Amino acid sequence: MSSARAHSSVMATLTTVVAACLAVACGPSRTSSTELPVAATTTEVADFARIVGGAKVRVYDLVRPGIDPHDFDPSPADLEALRRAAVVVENGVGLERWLGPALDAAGSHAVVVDTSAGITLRPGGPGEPGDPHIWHDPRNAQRMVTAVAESFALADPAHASSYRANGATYVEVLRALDDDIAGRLATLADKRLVTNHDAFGYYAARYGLDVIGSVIPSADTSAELSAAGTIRLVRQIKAQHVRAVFAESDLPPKMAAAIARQAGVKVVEGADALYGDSLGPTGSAGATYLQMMRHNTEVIVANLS
Amino acid sequence: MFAAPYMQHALIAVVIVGVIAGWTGVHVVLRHLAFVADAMSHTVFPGVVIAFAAHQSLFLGALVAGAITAVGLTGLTSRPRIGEDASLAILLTTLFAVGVVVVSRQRRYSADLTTFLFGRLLAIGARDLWLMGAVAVVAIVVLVGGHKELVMRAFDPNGTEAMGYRVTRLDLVLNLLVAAVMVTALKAIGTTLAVAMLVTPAATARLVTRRVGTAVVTSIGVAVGAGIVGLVISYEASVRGGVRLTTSATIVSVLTLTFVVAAIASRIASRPAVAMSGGSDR
Amino acid sequence: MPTSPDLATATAPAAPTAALELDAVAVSYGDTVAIEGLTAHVQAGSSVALVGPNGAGKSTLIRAILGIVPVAAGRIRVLGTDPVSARRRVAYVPQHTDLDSEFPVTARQVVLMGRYRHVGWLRRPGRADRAAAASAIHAVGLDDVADHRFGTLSGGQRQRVLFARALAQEADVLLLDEPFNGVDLTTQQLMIDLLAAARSRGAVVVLSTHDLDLARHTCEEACLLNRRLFAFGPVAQALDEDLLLAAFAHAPHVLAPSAVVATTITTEG
Repeated sequence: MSSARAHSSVMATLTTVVAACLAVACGPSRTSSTELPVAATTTEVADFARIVGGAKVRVYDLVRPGIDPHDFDPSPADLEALRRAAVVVENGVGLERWLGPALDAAGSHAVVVDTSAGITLRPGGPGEPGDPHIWHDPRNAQRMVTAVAESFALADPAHASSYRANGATYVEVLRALDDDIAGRLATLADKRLVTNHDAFGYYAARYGLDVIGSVIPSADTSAELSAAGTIRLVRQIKAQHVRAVFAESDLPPKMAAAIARQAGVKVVEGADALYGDSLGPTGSAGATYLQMMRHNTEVIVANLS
Repeated sequence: MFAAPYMQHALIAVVIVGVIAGWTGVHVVLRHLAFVADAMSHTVFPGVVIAFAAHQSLFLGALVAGAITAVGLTGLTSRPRIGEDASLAILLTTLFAVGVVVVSRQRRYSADLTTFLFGRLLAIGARDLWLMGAVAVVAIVVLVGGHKELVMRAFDPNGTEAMGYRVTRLDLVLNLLVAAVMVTALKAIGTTLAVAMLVTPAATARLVTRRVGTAVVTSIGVAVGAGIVGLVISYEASVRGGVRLTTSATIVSVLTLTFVVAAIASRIASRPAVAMSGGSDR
Repeated sequence: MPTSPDLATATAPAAPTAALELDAVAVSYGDTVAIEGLTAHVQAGSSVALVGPNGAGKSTLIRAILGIVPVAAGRIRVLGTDPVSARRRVAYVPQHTDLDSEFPVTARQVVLMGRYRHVGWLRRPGRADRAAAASAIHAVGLDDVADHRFGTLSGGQRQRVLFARALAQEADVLLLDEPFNGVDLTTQQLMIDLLAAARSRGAVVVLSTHDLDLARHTCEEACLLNRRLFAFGPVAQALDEDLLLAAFAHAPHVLAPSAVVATTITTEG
């Protein structure tokens, strides 16, 4: 019977495909290498992990540049990386709520390093433990780097001295960075800052800048701006004679541009946009932590002098 | 691949969903009720969203919304009246919009919206599997116990009523089965793609089988097979190829592909070649 | 207008347990009255032909006897009880054209459906059920094609399948909706013979038909209706020319409810 022939050919094909899939699935997995497997949640802590670990670690980036770490939905590759990781480095401060369930789902035995431990937090939004953008203050970054170095040393004692040495060196570099930025911003005539969202609280507090307001009045980029809020911000910008509205690299600049236009001030966007939430992709002006901090500082200085 | 808990859970989930969706789908297709499945996906969504906003169990929200829809649609599926399709469409899209409005009141909603509509197969935990399994067991008992009555009703509703069965009650049972599939599939593949799981395997089976019994076996096979293949493909694409393919969408793509292959195969097979004995199916 | 003695009641006293009792039955769909003031008593072992033009209410009457539609006035008793309770002992043979010819069931599976009430929920048909189905298939002469898909059979064969389903049910009342429509002569004769056999076992047969000759041929009694009863009694009297003219001349939608004259078992004067 013709229908039976069609039936059996379809079923045979499907069974073969399923069997092939299962054969692939249950086949041998890749052999592991000798590097310490590390997974890092944000671009910033991934940068720290690479610097501290050098060639002795293999760092897997979970959240890529431009992706909001709050909404992260791990892919199979991400979960495999978590499963194989010995150390997972996170920013903390409630930024990675998905991490716990993801580690369980992956069956991971990794040690999780909360790099925000010991850092004094600024207040965050409702329901948040604090403002998570701690890395924008290089002094906080120093603590984060030290935490990473210690965790690598514990996980891989054979190379403990190397990790600690790298960590200490980088802490020195960060101290120099801190002095450099402080010097540049101290002489700034106008210290009034309006950015796309509240990412620069720690930066402003460290260097004495005055955050007038943000286009999105929250540390959380998914909050929405009300019409009343927009009017209020424009009025403040005009009243305080703010010179520029700074857009951010991974957020759409339309709102910032619109507010700047309404207030009659310029908008700093495009290649000059600040790096608020994450580092930039490889090859951009903010690809590493050091580059990012220098870029932000230069853009602010250039537009507020 | 299946060393990690998330893949083991995902595999069990697609098997559970595949079995009950494949089986129930045969009855849905026999009675040309694909629109009921589609309607459910529009009403279960706001139920889930409201439960989410009220910090209640999403499973419960889906269950309640599905049950209400099943009851509400039973009048319509038993005796279709002309002209009600427009008002039904308006009602369903309005309910769906209500769901979107409620979910967007949350501060961070796009991830949740995606989860409700398309599921998060890789985030299924042991507790989810227990709930899914419980609903599936009840559904299977009903499907086994009521099989011949459901088929008879589909074939001859007047004769079934004449024999003493309440056709409206049988219709309610089938609608509740569809709701059960929606609830079970919610976290695995989401409400929108659950419709595909209900309809496509059964439609495929209809193309290549001539008996209800073999249609059920084939439909289950296609649904579970597509689930496994889709899961494996999306895993390999991510781990080996670095390409992110949403698992639920991959499964549905495999289903559609299987349907197309079956359609072509049955078209080829039905070309009049040798004259068969009289009375058999061409 | 000729009057006839009430033959149905003259030969025997009014039997309290007639197989089928209709007393001043009225059935309506919303505001439309489909049947009104219909009274008829049918004994076990008899056969009644329902005759009337399209829209006369024949199908409605059958559905009312099955309990599928409720009565608006009056009362129906089937085998001494209300229609819904009696359903297990009532077999319904619809027109084969009512059914989906694409449906994936075999003839044998359709006949087996007649046994489902005996089988009950949760269980599968057993040996006795399969035997009953097989003998019903044999009785209608469809052994050769029993395992072919229902939709591939001819019109006459399909009608026989539905008939066999009713036989397999081993019911005491057989209701047939236009069973001779679009059916070949062999099948017609076969069904007539089987109906006679059923009657001799004590079953009641009620069938609706357009074909007056077949009505006269197959049934002892006739019920001539067009929304209301025009005649009920032995087929020769109930279907005489004048009564037929009166019944078929009446357009159902013209008749206003208040103009209806109450009918009795006797033919109308």
